[in-house]
Formats: sequence, structure tokens, C-alpha cells
Amino acid sequence: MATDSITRRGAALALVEDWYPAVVAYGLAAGVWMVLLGESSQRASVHHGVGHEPWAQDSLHWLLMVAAMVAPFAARQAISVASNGLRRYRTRVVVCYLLGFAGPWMGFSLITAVVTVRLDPPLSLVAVPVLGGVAATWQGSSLRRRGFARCHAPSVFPLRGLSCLAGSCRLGIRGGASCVVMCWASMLLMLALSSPLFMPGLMATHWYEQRPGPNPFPERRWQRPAIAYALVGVGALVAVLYRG
Amino acid sequence: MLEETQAETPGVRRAVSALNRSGGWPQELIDYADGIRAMKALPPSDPLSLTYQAAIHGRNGEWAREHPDWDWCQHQSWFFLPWHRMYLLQFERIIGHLIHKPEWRLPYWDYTAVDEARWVLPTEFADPAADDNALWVDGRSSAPLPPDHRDPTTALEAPVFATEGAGFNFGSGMIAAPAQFGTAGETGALEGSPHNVIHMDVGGHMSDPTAAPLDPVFWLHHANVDRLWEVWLSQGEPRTNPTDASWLDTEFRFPDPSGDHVTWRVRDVLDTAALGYVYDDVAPPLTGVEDDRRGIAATVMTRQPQEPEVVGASDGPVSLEAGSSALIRMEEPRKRRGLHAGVGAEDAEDDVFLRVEGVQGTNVGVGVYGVYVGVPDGAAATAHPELKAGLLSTFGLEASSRGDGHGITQSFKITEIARALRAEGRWDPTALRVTFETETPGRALADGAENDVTAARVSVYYA
Repeated sequence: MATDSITRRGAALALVEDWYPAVVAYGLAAGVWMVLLGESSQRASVHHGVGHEPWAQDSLHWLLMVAAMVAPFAARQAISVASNGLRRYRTRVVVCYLLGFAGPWMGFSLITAVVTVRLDPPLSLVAVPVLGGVAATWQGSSLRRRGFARCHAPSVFPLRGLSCLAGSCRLGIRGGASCVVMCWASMLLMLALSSPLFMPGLMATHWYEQRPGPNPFPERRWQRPAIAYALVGVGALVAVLYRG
Repeated sequence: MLEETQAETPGVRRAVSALNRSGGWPQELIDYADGIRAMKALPPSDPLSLTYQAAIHGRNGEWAREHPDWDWCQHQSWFFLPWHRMYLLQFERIIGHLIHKPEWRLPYWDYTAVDEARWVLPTEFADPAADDNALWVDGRSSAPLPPDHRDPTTALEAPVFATEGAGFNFGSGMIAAPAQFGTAGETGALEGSPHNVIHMDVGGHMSDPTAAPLDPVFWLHHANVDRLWEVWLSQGEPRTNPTDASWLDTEFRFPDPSGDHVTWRVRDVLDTAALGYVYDDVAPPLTGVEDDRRGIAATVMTRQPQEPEVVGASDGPVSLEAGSSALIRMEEPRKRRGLHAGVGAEDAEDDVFLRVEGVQGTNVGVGVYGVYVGVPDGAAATAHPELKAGLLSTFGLEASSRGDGHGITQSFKITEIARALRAEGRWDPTALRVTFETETPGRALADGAENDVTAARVSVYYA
């Protein structure tokens, strides 16, 4: 029936429209991962840890690691923000949000790259347990909880024109800054380890923390942060054994 | 022991208006007053004292220090109803324990009934007379509740318990973890009205989330809110509780009359009979509010909502002064049911909602706003009750605005208004004016202070 085919075509178009922002957002995240894995495989035979490679190469590797880890979380937030605007602007909102989100992280990454290149001798395994302790302590801090709360602030922005793009970029900057507040300590630990093996563990920690769970006010009962500590410890151990 | 006794023979929570007054005060209220008196006589540090119990909801000024038992009340999220059910249950047990009557059950204030006599505070609560009336507190309003302020019909029509993000829901929005105020969860239809509205209409302690439980009528009010949850479920499919583990398995802990604590998961408190009580009446109420369109609304709302689509919003923040308005520029929704398929829109109509987002304020001079849409230019909004979208209460607004709070976000269903305006040829699909009027005044502001309530955005969406 003609009406049925029109209905199916309309439903298909609606489905594509529904999923397009997600395809864009997660596609960018997947692209970053592919670049990182390709670059890591080239370094695998000559990698000696932070500070032993030319600064530019080390910095690029570090930036790619940060982007790969953060991109999936940023993508999810971008899609959520875009759903609060006009449908015809959703893809643009997603892109602007991700660009804004990248800003604080690129700033953080550049600062840490510059700091590590000035360290002489380079970071040693002594720094790893220290940074692990700092990261574990930061997990349960009130400042970090506030950063976590800001992730869920209402995503309100103008619906049209340049104001829309600027507004979504602003929300992205806010989201990226909150993310830096939450994750800077564990990311420094990852910098010290400079190991792709640690990345999945850290991502799993943050994913577990953000998902809905049965633990009310975990900061009061130390349940979820305790699990985070365990993952940080296991990840550090794995990375140390890997490097050994 | 106490728990087993209550579970074996469920007691009945009755409407306060239906209690036996042939011999003066009903026995249930005599017992209640005795229980309140006993709670007040306990030192504030005693977990069974009224002060301590009120601090569980929110710390009031006398108790500024932190305590693991305090500041737990859940608002603006899907934990609102189950947490308050637990809170009421423990309070009921404490009263029963103190008066040595474990079979005592909390009455509910049935202001949702048609009888206008029930739209005022029960007489036992309104009389400050002699003999140390433990049920009376100063500061309450004695005025009858306006008809639409106690009307739960719109809330009872909501087809889903909770939504993620924007959405018209019964039990408030989904959030990842419990939080007191100012979360990003949507205030649900029942929490918004009549719950929040009644809090501000009664006034006094009831208008302050940190002091409200100090008013004995708070518990009867929340018993009715808890009953309305059962009324909503009694309407059958699609109205069901969430099945998400993140909701069902969330735990809350309360001090127990035994001196220890009791911990409940949400799934443990979904069957009131198992908890030891049932309500005398869970039939959907006739509310006494005239609305010829209500039958159409009931039919429409049985359909499951689809993903919301924003079609317009204010250009920026909107100051919520009495008589203030915002113009929302709208466009045709791209995902209208049947639109892409080329089917006529008359075959399948979407619901239209107004969403007031991120309402914040620290000097709150208005208790309840009336929200109107499509008021003709130059006309007073109050002269057009048929254009009233709903009520926006500022209960908990200051708490929601402090620190990292996100304020209050609430949706209003305006499908019937849009349909009526279309029928009259007055619906403009490109623009909609939203007007805010004062329904209930708020507390008196300090000298020089001005009402600073502002909405981050007012938007329109289809679902």
C-alpha cells in the first residue's frame, strides 16, 4: 500500500534523524581511539615511558590518550544537551558542545605535558603510588562531588542562530571543566604510568561511578569511592608489572 | 516484633474528615496529639523527638551541625514518593510506640475530595484553644484551599511514573543517585501540585522544607500524597511503578523506635499492606473542578509519550514577577506523529507541554504562581482561567538555588488549551505568550529586598 510505504520511509527517516547526533558524537570518539591505537602500536617497540621520547611525540601521545578517554563521556553529554534544543540544530549543537568540552581538557593536557618535559630526571615509579594515593583521596573529596553535580546541571541555551552555537559551546566548556575537576588526579596517575592498559580500568571506574546505582550518597558511606580506590590500585599494579 | 504485628493485620489510614466525632475529638487525633506531645517532650538529641525527626527531612535553624541521619528528604526526583513513604511509616511507628498503641494509624487530610468542607484545615488543627493543643501551630493560613490548588486530576492523568530528562511524569524525574534539592530531575506532577502548592498555601512551618515536619499537619498532608500514589496505581496500565534496579534497590535508613536503625530499599515499601497499612479509599476522586475537556484529556494521556521534541523557547532568562510574561517563538515539530509519513495530523495528535526550567531565587516573595498561556494582548491573565496551564510553587526554591543547586524545573500539559485555542482560531503556531501571576503570596521579604525569582528558560515541547 502506498500509505504503508510512506509510513515506513517516514519512520526510517525519523530513525536516522534520531540517531544522527549519536553517530556523529560516538563516531568522533571512535576515530580518536583508532588514531591512538595506531600511534601506540608504532611506539610500542621503542617506548620507554614519559620523558624518554621527543617532547612533541610524547605530548601528542598524551593528548590522544586524554581525548580517547574523555570522548565517550563527552559524547553522551553532548547528545543529552542537543535533545534540549531544536531538532534541526542538533548536530551543530553536538559539534559545538564537543569543541567546548575539549577546551579545558586540552589546556590541562598541555600544562601537564609542559610540566613533565621539564622534569629531570623523568617521572619514576616512585611517583606512581604517590599519585595513586592522591587520586584515591580526591575521589572522595567534596570538591570532586560538586564537580560531579555540575555534570547534571540543566542544559539551557538559546535555540537559534549564533547564540545557540555559542550557548552549546559554553555548556561544553562547563562540562569539560567539571570533568577536569573530577578526573585530574586519576589522569595524572595515567600520565605517570603512560600505559594503554591502565586506560580501560580508569574508564571503567568512571563509568561505574556515573551510572545509577543503589548506594545513596556514596560519599557518606564510602562504598563507590572504595571501589574506585580498588580499581586505581589494581590498575597501577597491572601497569607496574607491565612496565617491569 | 513491632514490624511483625503491623504486617499481620494491616491497619487502615482513614480520611481525617471521616473519623468519628460523636464524642468530641476523634480518638485517632487524641492519640496523635498525645504522641506529638510526647515527641516534643523528648530532648532534641533523642532520635524519637520531633526536632530530630524534622531534621531528618531537613536541618532547621536550631540544629546546624551535620549528622548522618539528617538532610535526607528527597525532592524533584523519583525518590520523592518512596522516601516520604518510609519517612511517614517510621513516624507512624514512633507515635504508636510512644503512646503504647502500635495499632495506631496516621489519618490523611482528604483535601482532594469534592466536599468543600475538607478544603480547610481540620478543626482540631485550627483551634489554638486551651489545654495545650499539640496539633496547633502558629503561622498557618486559615483560608480555604482554592479549588484548583488541591486538585490532583492532572497528576493522576500522567501516564508514566518517571522520565529521563524532559517529560510530564507522575512521580518526578529519574536521577542517578539520591539528592535533597536542586537536582536536575524534573519536578513531577504530583510533587508540583497539589504537594508543593499545599505546602505554600498552608504557610507557616509548612512553607519551609527544613521546618515543615514540625507542623503536625505535615504528616497528614503527606499521608494524602502517599495515598494518591496508590490511587494513581489503582487506575491500572500503563500506570505502574518503575522496574529499574537503580530505583528499586536504592536504600534509605531511618532511626527505629527500638533505638537502632532500619534500612529499606524502595522495593521493600511498594506494598502498603505488607508494611501494615491500607487506605480506606483509593478510588480516583471527583474533584469538583469543572472542566468539560477532562474526558478528552484522560483519553489522550493513556497513550505512551514519545521522546520529547523542543519546538520553541524564550530567548533568555525570564523574571517571574507578578504579571510578567515571556514570548516563545515556536516552529513546527519535525517529528510529529504521522507527519513524516504524510498522514493527516488529525489522525494522531501529540501532547503539547510547557516547561519552566531552572527556576531559582534567594528572595522569594511569591508562594505559588499561576502559569497562563495564550492570554490576549492587554488582557489580565486572571480573567482567563481557561488559559491557566497550572501552578508553580516555590516550595524548596531557596534550598534548590543554594550552592550548586539547579533550581526547580516543572512541566505543564497544555494540550487541551492548545486544542481550544485552535478551535477558536487563536492558536499561533509560531509564537506563544506565557504569563505568570501570583496565586499565593510568599513570605514577607526583608526591607529593600526584592523578589528575584527567575527561570533560566521557558520552553514548549511536543511528546
